[in-house]
Amino acid sequence: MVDLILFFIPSALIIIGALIVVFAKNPVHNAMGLVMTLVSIAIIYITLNATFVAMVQMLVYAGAVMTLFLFVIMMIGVDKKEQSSESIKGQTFLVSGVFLILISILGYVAISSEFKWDLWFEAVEFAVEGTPQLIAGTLFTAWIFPFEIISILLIVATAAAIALAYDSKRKKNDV
Amino acid sequence: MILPRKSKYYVAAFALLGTLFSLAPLVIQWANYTSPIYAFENSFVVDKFSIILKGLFILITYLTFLLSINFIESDKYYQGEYYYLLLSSLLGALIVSSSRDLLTIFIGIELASTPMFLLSGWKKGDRKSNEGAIKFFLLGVLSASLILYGFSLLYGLSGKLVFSEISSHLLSASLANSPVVLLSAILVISGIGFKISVVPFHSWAPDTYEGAPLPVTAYLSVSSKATGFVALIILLTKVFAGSGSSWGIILVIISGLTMTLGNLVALQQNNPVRLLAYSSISQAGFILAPIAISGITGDYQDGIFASVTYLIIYAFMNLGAFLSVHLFSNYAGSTNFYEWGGVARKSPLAGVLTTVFFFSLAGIPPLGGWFAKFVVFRSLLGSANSIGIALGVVGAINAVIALVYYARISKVIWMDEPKSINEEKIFQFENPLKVVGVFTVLITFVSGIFPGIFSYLGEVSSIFFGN
Amino acid sequence: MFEVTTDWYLTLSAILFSIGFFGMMIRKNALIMFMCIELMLNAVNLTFISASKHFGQIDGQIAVFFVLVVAAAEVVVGLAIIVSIFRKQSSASVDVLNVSRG
Repeated sequence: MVDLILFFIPSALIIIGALIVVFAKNPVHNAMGLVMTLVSIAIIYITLNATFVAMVQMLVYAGAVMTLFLFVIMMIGVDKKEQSSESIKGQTFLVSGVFLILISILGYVAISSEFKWDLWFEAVEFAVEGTPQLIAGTLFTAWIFPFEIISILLIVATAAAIALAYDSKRKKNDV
Repeated sequence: MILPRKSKYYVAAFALLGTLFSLAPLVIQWANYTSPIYAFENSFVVDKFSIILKGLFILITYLTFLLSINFIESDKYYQGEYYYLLLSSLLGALIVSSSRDLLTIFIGIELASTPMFLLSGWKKGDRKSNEGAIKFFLLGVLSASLILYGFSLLYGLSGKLVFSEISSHLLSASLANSPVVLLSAILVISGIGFKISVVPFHSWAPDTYEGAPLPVTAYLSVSSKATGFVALIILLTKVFAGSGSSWGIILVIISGLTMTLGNLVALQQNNPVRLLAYSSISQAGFILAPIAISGITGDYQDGIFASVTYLIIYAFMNLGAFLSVHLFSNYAGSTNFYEWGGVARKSPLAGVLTTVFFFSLAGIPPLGGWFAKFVVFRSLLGSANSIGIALGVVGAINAVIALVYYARISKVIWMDEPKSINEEKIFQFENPLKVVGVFTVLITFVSGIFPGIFSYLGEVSSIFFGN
Repeated sequence: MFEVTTDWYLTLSAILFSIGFFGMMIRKNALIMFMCIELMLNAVNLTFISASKHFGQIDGQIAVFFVLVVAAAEVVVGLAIIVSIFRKQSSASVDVLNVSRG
């Protein structure tokens, strides 16, 4: 019973939050919807034994990334009207149709028994708890190479973002 | 940003030297090669296939640097970051070519494309550049999430991240043709489709190409595309090899559409950069065709051989084409090539180079483009498969259409009456650019006249597929 | 009979992914399109984590770790581009930016 509650309440929140992201008109509301989704996903992670990832999700996504988003929204201003003109005629209609088809296929997949994941593979009985020790142990042995590359990716993002957003008019001699 | 203007020159020189010296380990690896070397628990491999592609990526980047030197020294750009970003993108491409697990290849793809998002917006304050950058960025991240969703489904199916384990698991559980694997293949193909700009996913390319600084455009159309193709080849043959008949059909349709649509739109362009953008879209269709057919016939060796050969030749002739566009649009001060009447008479060397590159792109013997097209058609028709022959016919029609617009530029620059020629204006053709031109022309000619040098690629691709 | 199985989590993540993709298609504002991509990336993470639980393995969580970092890097890049556009014309809509077409 607890299982069910812990699944359905966060997933309802996830979907509501996602819908807010898609449909809200005010960018701040969109951002808040995204926060709701991200926090609920963190709850789901905890029920799936991924405690460390849940913490990182809260800190990095719901914390840092969303702060950045809100910062940019505040900078740009919330009162800018979005253009509602369609670049292709009936685009929204078309996309909605495709989306409905997609959702109904998904529903079929979820209901019909041939596609049950648990029938293909037995779920493993022993659970692995995603503790920091275990994650660090695996990360720094088996996955050390991607880990090193990703640090370069972060430096690229930081350095280039500074270069791009830097206002060259302010310090002309330095450029 | 930190160094004073004068010493910026050293950054360029250092980047050039570094890139050149990084070829040395490759040569040593090639000379001492015995068998594929695996590292990091089978997630990284050094085999001849990856060495060749690494050499290609390094050479492209080197030529792009040469193209950039004069361009980037005009006041508007940050130079140090420019070279750093291009080098990071090169590193990403190198990682892709030897990665053998889902995480490494994904991070390689991201590292190759993230700097390009930024570089395509490098012309600060230019509206087209900004527009191109944001389009490229949004579609790039969308493609990343599509690829990732495909990867996560693969992980969900097998519980493994390393390619060899995934594919053996898919085969042993006889899941190779299950709908979920097919869905994952479609997601991966459409995600990488954005990177290689094939037709349903090409809409960003012309705008981004037009907006980005020209050396960046050249790099985008050559190296980024090559990275995408390498990732696609690795994923399709190492992971999805068992479900070839399903993705083969999808790729055949994509490839046919790409050739045709790219060509038809290119016919109507008057901006040379947009023309090259659409022409490179249609060339992507040709590169894709052999892989697509190999999925249906199961003869992956031949498909990989033909695609990689085409990719290598295309890389050099397209770089050359961008060089000539750069030269002429600089001189004529116009982005409409119909106003370039007679500019070739001003600098016959540049004129000859341009003609060579465009005729090579059109596939006229004895230039390199001819051999590339020949290999692709041989692979298509040799498949003895009705779908392959149909695709070959589509390709042949497109090759003829392409001839029209490639030849048109050469006609304009040689034969049309001069409109914008100003006798006093000096035709600028700096030395680094001459190096690029001569080098690419040399490769174009050599690969066309002595196609034998590519025969070793056949052996290499068989080794690649075998391990 | 009512037991939360891996299928449920996978279905949830598929729904989240489709909502994100849908939003990406219908919205024109670059910031909001970007948020929709974040939704899609989170769907990916959810799939990885639930598969990781299903197989009793840690690899899926490592993958999520990498996706998180890549997503954070992309956020920095994307917001830098949006800010530099905003400097020029004080709007962050993709459609408004259409200078050239065809």
